[in-house]
Amino acid sequence: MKSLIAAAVGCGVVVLAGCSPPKGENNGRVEITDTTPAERGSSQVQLTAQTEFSDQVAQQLAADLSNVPELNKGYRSTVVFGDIVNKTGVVPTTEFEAFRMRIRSKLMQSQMVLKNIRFVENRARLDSLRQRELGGSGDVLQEGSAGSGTTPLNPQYTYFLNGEMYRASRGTRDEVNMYLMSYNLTNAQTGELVWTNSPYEVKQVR
Amino acid sequence: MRRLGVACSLVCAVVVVGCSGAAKSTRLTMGDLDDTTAVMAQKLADSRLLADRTPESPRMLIAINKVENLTSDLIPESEEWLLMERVKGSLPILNLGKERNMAFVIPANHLRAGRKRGNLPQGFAMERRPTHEMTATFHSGTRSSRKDRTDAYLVEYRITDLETGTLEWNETFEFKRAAAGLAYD
Repeated sequence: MKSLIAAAVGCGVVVLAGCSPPKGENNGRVEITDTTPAERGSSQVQLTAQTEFSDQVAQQLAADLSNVPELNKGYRSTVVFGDIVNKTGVVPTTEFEAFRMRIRSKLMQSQMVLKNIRFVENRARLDSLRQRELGGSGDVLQEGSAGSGTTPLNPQYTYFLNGEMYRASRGTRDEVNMYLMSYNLTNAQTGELVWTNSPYEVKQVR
Repeated sequence: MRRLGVACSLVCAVVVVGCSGAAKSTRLTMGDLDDTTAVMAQKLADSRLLADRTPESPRMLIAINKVENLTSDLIPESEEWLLMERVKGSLPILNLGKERNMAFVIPANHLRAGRKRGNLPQGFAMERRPTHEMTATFHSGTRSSRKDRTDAYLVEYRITDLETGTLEWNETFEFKRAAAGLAYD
């Protein structure tokens, strides 16, 4: 009888706990660094791995850029976020864009980097912004050319940060994936590659 | 007695599975939008962009634009504006003018819409000349396996100099939503 009462009480506690309402609006929110069952069960690259790799890339890139002689001449050089190409074949474009944004944002938090560099948007994006905000000759409804009015970048002190992301896979179902990220810095006037990295790497095994 | 115990256990199991508070959708909640704007407002308030400005700094006129939604979730246009307006609204507008020599201008989108509706007089805001633009982009990545689904969200806010293209301020906020089961279960 005692055990039955204990079981009933236990059952009651479980019922109350199980049926308690969701805790506020954040029910279902998990830490960005937590790997969820959906990620573990999916054949795609884990979101957590992407986050960790972007952190690693940003950290290494910040350290490397602060040691490039061309960017350490006592003035702030201009670096254009150029072309970063996704050649992995498996990372969706939208996720790659988020990956790129994350690295850019992390770089912009680095005082070590910002001491010598000011980052600018690429020309296509800036033209699009100016078109939207300034339109033509001051009247936003005229929708004319917005090209005039920008301060041209001095090509001598301007560099383009371009990069590519690759993947190498092994296994019958691509159980092992190696992701590599290469970057280079090109002088806008001479086209000279003033710096390239030895690719940043991460290996993911399923 | 034993049967009663087994029955009790079964009832418990059913109740736990059926009544558990596990999320069944990874859609953005109001809580997510609240947290996003609160975090971004704080980051902007603490930014060097604001800290370095004085009344003598060159005039900064900021135009905001709605959030660009690159997620798999549907964010209504009103919420895309809300995400920007809340961050803008968190700043002490009057003091910004006096202490930082900066102000906000009417968004181009609102101006265009007002003109089209014929609600604005001829020549309204003809001298509108924003020097900077503040906007944001929402990204997401999705993973699913059987009945589990996870969406990782990343929102990036930025302020860009419209003359030089310089990124003056750039911050991100990210979180994940995990769900199990079907939304209509």
